[in-house]
Amino acid sequence: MTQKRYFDTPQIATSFEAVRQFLPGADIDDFNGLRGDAMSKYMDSGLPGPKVEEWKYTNLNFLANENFDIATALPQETEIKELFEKACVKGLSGPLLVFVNGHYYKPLSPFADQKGIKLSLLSDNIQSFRVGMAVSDGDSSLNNLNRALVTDGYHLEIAPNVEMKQPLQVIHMATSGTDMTAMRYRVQIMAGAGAKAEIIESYIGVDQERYWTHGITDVMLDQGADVTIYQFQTQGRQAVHMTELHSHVADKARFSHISLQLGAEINRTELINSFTGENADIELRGAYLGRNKQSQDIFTRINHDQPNCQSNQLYRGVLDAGGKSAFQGKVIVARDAQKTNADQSNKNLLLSRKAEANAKPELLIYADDVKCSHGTTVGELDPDQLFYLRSRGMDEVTAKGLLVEAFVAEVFDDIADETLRTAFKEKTARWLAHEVTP
Amino acid sequence: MVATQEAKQTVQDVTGEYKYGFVTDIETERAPKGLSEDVIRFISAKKDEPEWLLAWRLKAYQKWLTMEEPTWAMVDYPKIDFQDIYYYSAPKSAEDGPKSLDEVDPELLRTYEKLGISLKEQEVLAGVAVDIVFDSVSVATTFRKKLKEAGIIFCSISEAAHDYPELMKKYLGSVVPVADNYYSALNSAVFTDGTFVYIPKGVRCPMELSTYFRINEANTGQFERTIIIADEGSYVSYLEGCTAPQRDENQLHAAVVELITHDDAEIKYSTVQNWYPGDKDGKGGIYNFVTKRGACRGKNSKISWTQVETGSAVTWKYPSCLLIGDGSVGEFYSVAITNNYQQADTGTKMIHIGKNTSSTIISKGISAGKSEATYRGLVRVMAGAENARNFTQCDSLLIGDKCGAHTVPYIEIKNPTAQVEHEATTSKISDEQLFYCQQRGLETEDSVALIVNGFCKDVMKNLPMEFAVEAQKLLGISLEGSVG
Repeated sequence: MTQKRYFDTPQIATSFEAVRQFLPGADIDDFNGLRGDAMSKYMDSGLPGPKVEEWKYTNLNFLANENFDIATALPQETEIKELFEKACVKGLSGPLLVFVNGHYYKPLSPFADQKGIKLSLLSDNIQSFRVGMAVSDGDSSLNNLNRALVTDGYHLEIAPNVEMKQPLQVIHMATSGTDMTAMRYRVQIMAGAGAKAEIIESYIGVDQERYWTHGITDVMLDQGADVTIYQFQTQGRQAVHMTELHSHVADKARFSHISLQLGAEINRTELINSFTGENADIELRGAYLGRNKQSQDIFTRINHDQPNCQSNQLYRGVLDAGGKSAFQGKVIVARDAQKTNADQSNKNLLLSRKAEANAKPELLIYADDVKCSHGTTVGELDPDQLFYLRSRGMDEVTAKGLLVEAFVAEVFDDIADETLRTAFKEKTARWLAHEVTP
Repeated sequence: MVATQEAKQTVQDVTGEYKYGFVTDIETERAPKGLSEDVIRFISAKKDEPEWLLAWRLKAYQKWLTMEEPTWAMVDYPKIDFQDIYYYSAPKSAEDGPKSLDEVDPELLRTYEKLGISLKEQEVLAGVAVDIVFDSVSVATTFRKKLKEAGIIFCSISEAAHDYPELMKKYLGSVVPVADNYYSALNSAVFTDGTFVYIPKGVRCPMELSTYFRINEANTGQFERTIIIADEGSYVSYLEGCTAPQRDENQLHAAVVELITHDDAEIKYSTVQNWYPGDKDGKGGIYNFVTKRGACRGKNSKISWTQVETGSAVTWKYPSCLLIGDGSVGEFYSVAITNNYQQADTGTKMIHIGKNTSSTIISKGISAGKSEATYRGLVRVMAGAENARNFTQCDSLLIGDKCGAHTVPYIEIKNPTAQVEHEATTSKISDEQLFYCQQRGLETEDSVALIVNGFCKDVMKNLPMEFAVEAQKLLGISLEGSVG
């Protein structure tokens, strides 16, 4: 790792010193120190350039020239309402948590206490975050940058054997006035032994502003816990969207992540998953859609460090004119992780001449009694299928739409909750129909 | 079943030692150790090269000095001291230029006999012409006359520099540019010999051309340079095989192979690589850092790479195809077997540039012992490559729980009419398969050889007959001691 592969962003350091005293936890010495350490680590490494293998398909060079300050925009209530209506999955009666421009927004966040479920915010409970942030396993430069400048986020703890009755809906929004600003979140989800929880995350923002959302999530699952995260990424057209998730999955636990990526100009979604116990299960599913300068970069890693675990990945990409995607999925099976079962499927559809799909499905295997496979395809719509529909009187646009919807639907078909399943499919359909904000 | 018995027989023959582990002692003439402009001038003078070629070498050397050793491959080896290598060594008897086999150093001939490729036999047995590279200088070429009658040029690269300067100037470095990578730059500066083949328009080469490479002197790197040009409508099948004597010190091999096909031409390039892989403790063995690339320049031309990689301590090799001509076809069939402490990072690149181009990649990796095998491949479809097709199948087989098998494919598609499929699986030989074979009276080792041969069938069937037999035996030898 030679120095020149990384580049410096001196502006970010300058703005850090300027805002440091206003950040949450500035009055707590060790937390303030933690931020300082993270910042100097970030400055030491710099940002990865295109020569860094993991960043081959997303060029961060723009960050050398563009300076994103911490978001301070005071949003209009009507605008918040409007975005909220678009993002909120209707028909679910669970608790809500809304963050506007990087800060918790109380009026739209009703949360009724349920026994065994503890929800706190980073902005008012810095202590519960301190430990998790200090030992976070991500030590990438972007992870450090987030640690140094994070403004808000939440910490969810589910006691052993407690089942969350309704999914928690979390909405991160960026309103007008956020141009050239950054919003950094930190999320911690701790599921006790046998606990069960579902979280729906929505990212939404306005099209006319160039803002940068950067979220880091740590998910800890104890024995037999079951956590599912559903994600809707419908950021504004100029947005920079980056998320990094680290999951730790213990004995017999089950972690699922199901996402729909159709917003933002630059999207980098990282899902880093590790098994800490045996007989556990990880399932990652997602659809990414892109057009008009959009770049969707999905980066997954599954560390099979334990024997007898299963992982399953299913990703579908749809790229229209000007859209670009990368699916980089890595499965690492450690020496003693016998009886591992790891499957990965990635299919991409190119709808136009000016679309681009990249894939790098990697298998690194050090144990012999394993079953691992991956499959990747790239192609256009099957002309025979199209002809079949056209010959039955369907116009071309409708026929294509139907086929693309069916192609993407595979990702969401297994979602048990009908409301949620429909929400995913509807948002996909709206993107296909070129609606401005799906 | 015949193959299995043969494999078993071979295993017994070699009783655990590398079959070709012996050293021939003949006087050699060496350049001083290390690399400098003077050494390059020495090599060039030794070969009585034209001025332009020396200039080309020196330019490559200057470029090499500015480059960094690549570290991205999944291989781990001690840093190479490029000043601790002899860059030129020639069997002395070559100075006088043997006119026929009778003039060749008898000890040299005995070496070949041990290898089972006695030239006398070869000359009699019709069908295969052999250009033997013994430590950097071609000492004997057979069947040249017959080929000449067909208008085919089959000679050493040094001869080509003298006799066919125009062709050399036109094609040398035209597929693998000097600065393509660290080792191609090094090769361009110091290449000592290699093969030059030109098949004229409409000629179907009447025999399979073949070169045996052999590293003999301690501490000499082998820097071969091969250029094969198939002009319009021609066809050639080329075989490359290598063996090397047992050595403790690691030896570097950095070859460059360039293939060019014009309209409707086809080159079939087959390799069996079984150089010294190091001993059971990972000591010694060849470093094989090779750049092989073919350019399908003409319409409907075809380049097919078939390789069986069983040797070398470290392999770093990606035979690739640039599919430039419309309708051109690229193929890559590979079996890579690693055992003990061997490491192989190998694969291919298929770059689709022309319309209606297609490519097929079949890669079978088998890891045993404490070895690591990696498939690394790229399929790229450029925006203008209408109706490109690719099919990739990478299968890995693990034998034992201390080895590794990795798959690192890159798929980069910029044209919607492309159809690209990639599939990879990793598994071990199942207990059921073994039980089935053993139940029918086969020993464990035979059973493994049988199953592995079956696993590799899709690749092996693409090898020319001469190689297929040897390759099947090699599979058995290479996996010896990996089970039981």
